[in-house]
Amino acid sequence: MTVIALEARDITLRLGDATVLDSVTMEARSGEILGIVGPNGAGKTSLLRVLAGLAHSGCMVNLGGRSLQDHDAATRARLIAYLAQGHVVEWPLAVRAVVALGRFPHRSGFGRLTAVDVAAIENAMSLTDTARFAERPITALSGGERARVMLARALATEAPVLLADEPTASLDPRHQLRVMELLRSVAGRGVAVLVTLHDLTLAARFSDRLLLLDRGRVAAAGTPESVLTSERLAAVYGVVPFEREVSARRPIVPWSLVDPGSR
Amino acid sequence: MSAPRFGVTARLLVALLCACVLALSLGYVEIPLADVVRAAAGDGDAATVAIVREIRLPRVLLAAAVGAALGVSGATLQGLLRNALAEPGVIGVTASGGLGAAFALHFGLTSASVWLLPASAMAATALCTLVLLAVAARGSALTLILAGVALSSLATALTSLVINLSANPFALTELLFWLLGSLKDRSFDDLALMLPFACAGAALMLASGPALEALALGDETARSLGVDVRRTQALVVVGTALAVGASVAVAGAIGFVGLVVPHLLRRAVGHSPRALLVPSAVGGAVLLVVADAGVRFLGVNPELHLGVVTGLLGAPFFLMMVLRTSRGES
Repeated sequence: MTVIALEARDITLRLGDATVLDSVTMEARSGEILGIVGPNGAGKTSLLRVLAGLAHSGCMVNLGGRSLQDHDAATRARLIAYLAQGHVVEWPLAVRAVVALGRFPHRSGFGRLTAVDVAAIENAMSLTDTARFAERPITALSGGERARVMLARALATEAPVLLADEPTASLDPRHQLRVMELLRSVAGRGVAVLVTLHDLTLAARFSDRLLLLDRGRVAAAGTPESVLTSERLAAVYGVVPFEREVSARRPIVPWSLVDPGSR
Repeated sequence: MSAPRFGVTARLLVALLCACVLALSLGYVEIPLADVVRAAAGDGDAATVAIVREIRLPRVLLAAAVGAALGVSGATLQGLLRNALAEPGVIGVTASGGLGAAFALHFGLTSASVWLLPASAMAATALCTLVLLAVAARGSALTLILAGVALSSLATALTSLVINLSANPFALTELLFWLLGSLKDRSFDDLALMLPFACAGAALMLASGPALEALALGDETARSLGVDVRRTQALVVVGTALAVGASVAVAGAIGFVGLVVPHLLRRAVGHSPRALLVPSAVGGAVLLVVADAGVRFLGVNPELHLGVVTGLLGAPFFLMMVLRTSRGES
């Protein structure tokens, strides 16, 4: 039985005059990857921010049967791990110190790491294959290694919900696949994984379900095959996919513009 | 992970003790080292005990307290603003304290009560802090820096105005020397005045340590980890204002301690903003005790002001850091 880990009804978010999210209703289930796709400005990041409690829309976000607002900041942080875009680290901290920050919501008193914390940190580093450079400064790593360290930081929290905002951005194909496979294995451990993606091929291949956003609204939700139809790709993205069956599957490959010149 | 930090702190504490003993033995009257230690404990002939305990000890302890306050303030501000070039002076607290002192001297408040000078300096830093808090409540760290720069400029301009309008040459001299920053002729009264505020400020800054570490991942991620960013900003702004305000009130403007000390210590304890706090306090104390002893050891007449010396050494250091930073980024 799949458990609904996170659900939201009628999320509407306004920033100034702009309506960034318009009556978005969605749910994420434990053990699944929910891919959130949509063109630039569709509201993918805003949706994750609302779900993480970083932006307040006034709607009800239900987390494990309780409203998100009823949880204090530390409890919320223990239940939802958020991997922001861009992988910001302002100081050349050691990789292990960065991953250890994932335990911040669990700390008590003077913030000494307990045996449980240390185990979670080691586990997250071994899952992401980052233990090899645990003592190196994060600034000395390549983009792909850094992405894995940031993912390890989010995993170290051991939250039942993981929100990842474009974790594959600016990674080469090999590292993109590696990150997606990691998310797959995280979901396999019962975590509800919500991930925004620009790469529709990856999104269709790795997501159990997709949420397609278009200008702040839900354009479609469901299995990748049912969401990414040629008609929707044309209407939402303005692209025509290259369609061919490969080993009895139909990967989505955006191929050409619907109307060259208009966008 | 924390082992190097404690090792460095322990070594700095030993260095501080040595620096204090050395500083106590330096002065116009030559006193052997052994006699200094005994006199500090209240043992020996009356004159030596008086010189060591009444003249030198308050000055040395004040140097340590001011240095510690400035050192930890620098490390904390750099953690909050995520910029190794941030300095307590950046948020305008030092300049505001100077303005408060200038105001008190210009209007002759000091003749009413000696306490009005530090009180005025602290009131000005408090006012500056309130403005910064209002800015911090609605802006980013960059907004906070820029607001601090603006406030600093305003305080400097107003201080210049006070100097400009000063008709009394005696008040003018007193004011100018105050602004140069010195620990000369200070008593235990000065120490008793600044220590409670400095300790309260340091406690607030240390409390912000774990949040500063999380802020290394950016505001958004820190918030997602449960950090209350506004509360952290408030802790740091109030903490630094108390510590730096108290220091300016008793010692005038002494710059660059908060810049140099954390920078040097990063080589030993790493870049963790939290791990830097305590070593920066002890390191600041060592630096200022040694610098103040150096000023007396040089024996230049009239005695060099401590603020002048830290400025002469600190400003080129600052420039070097800026050049290195820009080269590292390009």
